[in-house]
Amino acid sequence: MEKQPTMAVLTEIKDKNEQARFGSIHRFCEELEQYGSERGLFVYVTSPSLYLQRLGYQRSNGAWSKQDVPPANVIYNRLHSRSSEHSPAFAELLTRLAEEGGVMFNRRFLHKWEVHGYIERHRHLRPYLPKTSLWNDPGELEAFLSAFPAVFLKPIHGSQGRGILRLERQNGGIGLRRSTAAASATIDQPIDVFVSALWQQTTAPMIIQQGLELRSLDSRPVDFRFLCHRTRHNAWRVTSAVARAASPDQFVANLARGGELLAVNAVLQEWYPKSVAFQQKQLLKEIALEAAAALALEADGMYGELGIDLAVDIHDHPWIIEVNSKPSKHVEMVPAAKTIRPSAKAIVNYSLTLIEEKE
Amino acid sequence: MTYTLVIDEQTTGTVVLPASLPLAGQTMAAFGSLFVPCRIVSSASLTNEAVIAHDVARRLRIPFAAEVHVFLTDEAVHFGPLVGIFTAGFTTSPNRPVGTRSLFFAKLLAQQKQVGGFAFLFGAPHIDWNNGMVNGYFYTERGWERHLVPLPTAVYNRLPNRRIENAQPFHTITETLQTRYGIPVFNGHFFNKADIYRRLSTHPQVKPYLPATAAHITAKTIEQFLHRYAEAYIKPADGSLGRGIYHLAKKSGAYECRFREEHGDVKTLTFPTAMAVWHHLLAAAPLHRCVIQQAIPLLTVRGRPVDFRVHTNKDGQNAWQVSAMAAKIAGKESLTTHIRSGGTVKTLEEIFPDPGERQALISRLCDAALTLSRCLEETLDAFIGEIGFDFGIDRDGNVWMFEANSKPGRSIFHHPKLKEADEQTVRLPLAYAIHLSKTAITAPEALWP
Repeated sequence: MEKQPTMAVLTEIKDKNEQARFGSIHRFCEELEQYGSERGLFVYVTSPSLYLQRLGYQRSNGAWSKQDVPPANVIYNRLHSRSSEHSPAFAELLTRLAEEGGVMFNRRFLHKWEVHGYIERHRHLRPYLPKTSLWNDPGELEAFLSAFPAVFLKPIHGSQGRGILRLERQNGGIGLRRSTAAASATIDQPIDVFVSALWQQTTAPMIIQQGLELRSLDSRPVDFRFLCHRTRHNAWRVTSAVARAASPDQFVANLARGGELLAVNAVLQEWYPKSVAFQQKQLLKEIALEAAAALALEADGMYGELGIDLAVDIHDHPWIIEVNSKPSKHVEMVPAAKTIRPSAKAIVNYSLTLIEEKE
Repeated sequence: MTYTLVIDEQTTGTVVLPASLPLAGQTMAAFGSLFVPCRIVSSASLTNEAVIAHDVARRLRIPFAAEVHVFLTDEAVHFGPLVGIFTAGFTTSPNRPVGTRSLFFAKLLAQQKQVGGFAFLFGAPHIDWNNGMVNGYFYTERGWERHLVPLPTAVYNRLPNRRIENAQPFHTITETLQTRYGIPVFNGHFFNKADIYRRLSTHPQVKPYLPATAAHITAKTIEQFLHRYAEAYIKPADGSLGRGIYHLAKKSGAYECRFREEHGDVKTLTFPTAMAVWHHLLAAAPLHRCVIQQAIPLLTVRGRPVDFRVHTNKDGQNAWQVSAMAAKIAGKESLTTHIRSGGTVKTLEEIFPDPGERQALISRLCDAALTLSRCLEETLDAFIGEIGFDFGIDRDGNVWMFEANSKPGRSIFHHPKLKEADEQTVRLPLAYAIHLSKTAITAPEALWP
């Protein structure tokens, strides 16, 4: 008998008193399993070390239990810590997978600086990329501060809006806001003194990015998250799109920083007449798809799911803000019980496509 | 070679060129269809810069400084080329001027930087015939921009479909640009299968690549084809993408007809006579717009038939090049290997791991593609910049041409390993436009014999 097509979700697992929990994607794994069984795809959840022992969590009668599992044809990498991807177990898993003829998608976290580099190789996307540099010399920040009214410093490995600094020239000094603090501070220092002090304090690698005058709702900056999935023949499609407005005391719209989830159409129609809103939405969607395809083409390894963050400035120009290779599942409008999110279906379908193309 | 155009805000009425350019008393600068009298001088201190006074640049309507080619005639120094990409379906959105195709054209226009000169997108409403100007869409590092420029030096026809192309206003526009203004228009027309076949079949060199094809389908032609070849296809003469294709076979005296239903399932019907098949088809398909074609027993990989997509382009030297190549493996239940119907795109490296076998196939496919490109160009009285071929290889290793498309789709080249090839197919039409521009400016008699 032919072996049943099999997909493993790779993630961090907590197992207390025989109750396995898969963190923020627990519910999502149930949807994957449910839709997978409808489509004839066997889905189990595992971690790098469990996989090496041929163990995984299988669902039956609504409960997950640890079982012996067959090798996976496809592994969907949802490890949420970068260090898990650098563990010896992960490296061993990759070797094992290659020997068994399986494939992994969403090979690893992509950091902000490489993402910028990959997309920039596609010339036609450059108008939508804010000017960005790796901060490897204090002078570079001064140059940005004199070129742009506002500048962002972002940790290249940061996520969920953590550790972002917004700098602004203010009559001789610098206005400084941190994404983790509610208030802004004004620092009365010459720019070069301030910059070299900041450089001394900074340990994590950062990118410098041109600040943008984003369109806002009630003075709360807005961004858009397009969740994109790969289909057949290297094509991509948008499975969900939401707008996020920053919390009133924040400059980043991430939900983890108190951002509010809104419908894309509602936001765009607040800004534009209907026909313009339509064009803008299509354009955002098309840019998201091009950016996803560009990244998948340039980055090593395979990618089947990407979260593309976009924003629109006050001149109505769209911008690619960042790309997340382990996009949060909370941006999809919360599903009613027993329903399956489009992204879960997309992951199952893509896995089946990979298996079929491998034949 | 290209020169960096420098717009000089200090001087007026002058163009300064590197001494390496052989000047011969030219008295004008030109850009597209515009000429402006000015002083043209040489400077030994310039190597790859061309300095143009701001008033001359403004009067020539040069939209911005760029890397340019310089073409010399007896009278004028031309900066260019100025390539117009002609299409239809414009929206009112400045950020999305041609709807869903906007980023596709952005990608095409962004390649202009690689080859030098200017390229812009325009449609019928943007031409001001009275003043010989076009309000074109340029794609710069800032995104889409409008600039009023002279008529272009070459036009790349990218009308989206056959229906629009045949509509009178569009036909007249490309015709007028070419005949009245001497602006070469390339990729003027979608090919018609029957017409292509008729033209090519008179060429002894390419005849062996052509499966037997007939245009007027009667019960008798069906009978003849199935008698001679056992299997045949009926397909729309002007369609592509594998839609509306019927597969016919004669099996133990009965006539079998397979086709894909609208919702995607493959259906098989059996008929006792060729006449019965014909009657069925007459009701189901626009037979007067179809051709019947000999089916070729295709090379298979792991039991599945494979066909090949080979893309050729004219390059900057006016020579045909094979710019991209991919294989398509049929899905489990496929009528043809058109990827819409569920086949898989692979590189030749992926399906022919043996380098000797692969090289032999590649060289056969290249020979066929280049020979056919040259012959097609010869038989058609038009400038053709690119052709997409669908080829099959039979079990004896012979190459067969199933289709030649003058406006081939490109989704097949989204395969990660075909990235370079994909870029080539976007860049080469612009390179060819440079050749056409240069020839139209410096040696028009070579273009219009």
